[in-house]
Amino acid sequence: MTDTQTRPVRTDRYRPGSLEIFGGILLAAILLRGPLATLLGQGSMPTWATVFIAVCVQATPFLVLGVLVSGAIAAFVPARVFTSLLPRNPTLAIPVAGACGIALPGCECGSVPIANRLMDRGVQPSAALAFLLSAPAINPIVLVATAVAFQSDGRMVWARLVAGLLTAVIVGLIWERIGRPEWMKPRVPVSTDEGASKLRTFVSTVGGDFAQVAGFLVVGAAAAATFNVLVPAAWMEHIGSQLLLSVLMMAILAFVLALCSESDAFVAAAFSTIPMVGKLVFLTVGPAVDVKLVALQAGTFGRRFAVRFAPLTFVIAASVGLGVGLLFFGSGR
Amino acid sequence: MNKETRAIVIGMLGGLLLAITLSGKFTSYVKPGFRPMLLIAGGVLVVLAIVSLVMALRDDARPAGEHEHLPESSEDLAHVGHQHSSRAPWLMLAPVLVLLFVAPPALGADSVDRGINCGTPAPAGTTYASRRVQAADPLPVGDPVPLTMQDFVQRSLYDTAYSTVTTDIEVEAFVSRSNCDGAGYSLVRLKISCCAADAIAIRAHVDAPPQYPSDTWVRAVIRAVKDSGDQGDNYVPTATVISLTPIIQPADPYLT
Repeated sequence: MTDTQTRPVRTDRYRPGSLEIFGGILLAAILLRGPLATLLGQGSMPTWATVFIAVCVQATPFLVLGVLVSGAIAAFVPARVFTSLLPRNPTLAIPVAGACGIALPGCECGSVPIANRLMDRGVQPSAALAFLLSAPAINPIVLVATAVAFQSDGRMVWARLVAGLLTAVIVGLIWERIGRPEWMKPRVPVSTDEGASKLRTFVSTVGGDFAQVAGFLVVGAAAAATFNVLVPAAWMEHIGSQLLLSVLMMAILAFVLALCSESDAFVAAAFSTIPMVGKLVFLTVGPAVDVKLVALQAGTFGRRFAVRFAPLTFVIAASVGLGVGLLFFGSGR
Repeated sequence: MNKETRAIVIGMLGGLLLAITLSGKFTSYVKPGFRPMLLIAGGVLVVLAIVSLVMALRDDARPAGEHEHLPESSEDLAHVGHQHSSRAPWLMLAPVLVLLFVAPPALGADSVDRGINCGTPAPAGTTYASRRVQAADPLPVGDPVPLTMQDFVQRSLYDTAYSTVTTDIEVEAFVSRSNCDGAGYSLVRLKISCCAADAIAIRAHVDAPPQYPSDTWVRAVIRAVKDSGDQGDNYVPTATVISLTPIIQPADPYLT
């Protein structure tokens, strides 16, 4: 039951099918089990491996939720629903899509396949991207977690809501102006085939989306684990109280640590020496852009998209976090 | 990656999620509250894998030409001629194989040791102002009184009644020797808010040569040294050890 048997082989030379490669990898892993365990047992490698697995395990439920929603949209929601739901005018559609993000309880990995599917369904890319950015930042679970983490200062929840939504809308509006379709990977009309049953469409979309996004999640998890091992804790504790410097450092930290948006508030609250503005920047940049997300976006929308979208989001999120933070908290702790 | 292989790998991932959750191993990676979500996600992935495998096998069993040839898998897309990396799904094998063959342990001393901040000792002749403001609630009953490492450290730092200085406290922690411990060692418990990526060390310093190697889990009866733990040692209180008993790692290795 392999490729070589079921599909015409294009070239004359032998090309191993997926199952053969899979078997080969599995066999190699079994044979090299000892050396593999030794390799992952030396120095800081156990820490790396644990953090790597932790990020993968933690993100998988949200990823599953995301691909289920995305598959349901592909199979059961006709395209006209979105075109009638969202205003035609992009300037209106972007804030509306951004505000819709409040309804999706998940973290950032789940919203990538959903935004992708929305674009398939004819939603303007800029509006889908506004949804992509706002959903992980302002959904109810994240806001409740933030309220719990910042019990002593209730303003943080509102500041986070405002900054998250504002970042999503501003990036959406800028993308509407400068974004070009050719930066995105060509879209494949996966499910418009009327002949396919809905269940079949659902299953194949969910499986395909999951495999694709999970693959890139692994890249992101490996990067996050590497930074986690390399960035010394002392560096984090000593970021210091100087406002602009702390804002920049917190933005970079949010990018490299790639924490799940449901837990980052607890981490932010633990930075005792950082001004509130710095913490807000951490909470605004984290859900919008981090190493894990860049990997996911590069995989889903294409590399040419990611190299433009990620820096844009980073700058906007950090600036919005700074502005909203100064408005809410002033420059003190 | 073709549809059959994809289904098998997704099934393995889902099965492994179920396995580590049911065996309790998952608490080494995420907080216990993740249990229902992991069970659901693992179950969904296993069902998804079985259904797509059956569909793929049925498709292949049908004679050629009758295929509803949807460009479904990434390999199909590659055939249609779209340029992009269709190899991403292979990366799913990395966590699958690491979980299957290595199953990394819970974070331990290594994550504490790496470059923690040792604090800035007060200039000679001065002391830092005390941060104690009010008396903590009365201790629970017991002799020794069982507390989490977190409660012990907080009481040692902030309690004006010095409850942990005057009473024997029992904590569960692991032994770690960091660069701040000098000839001594630390009793550590890691605290996570979501997963092991955000672990924070909650620790007490012990001014005595370690009896056990790093990463040994112990049940320790300790008392805090009065007024230890200020800015000079990065708010890590010092404890005197009354007794240490090695134990197996608790079912939930992290505080949440």
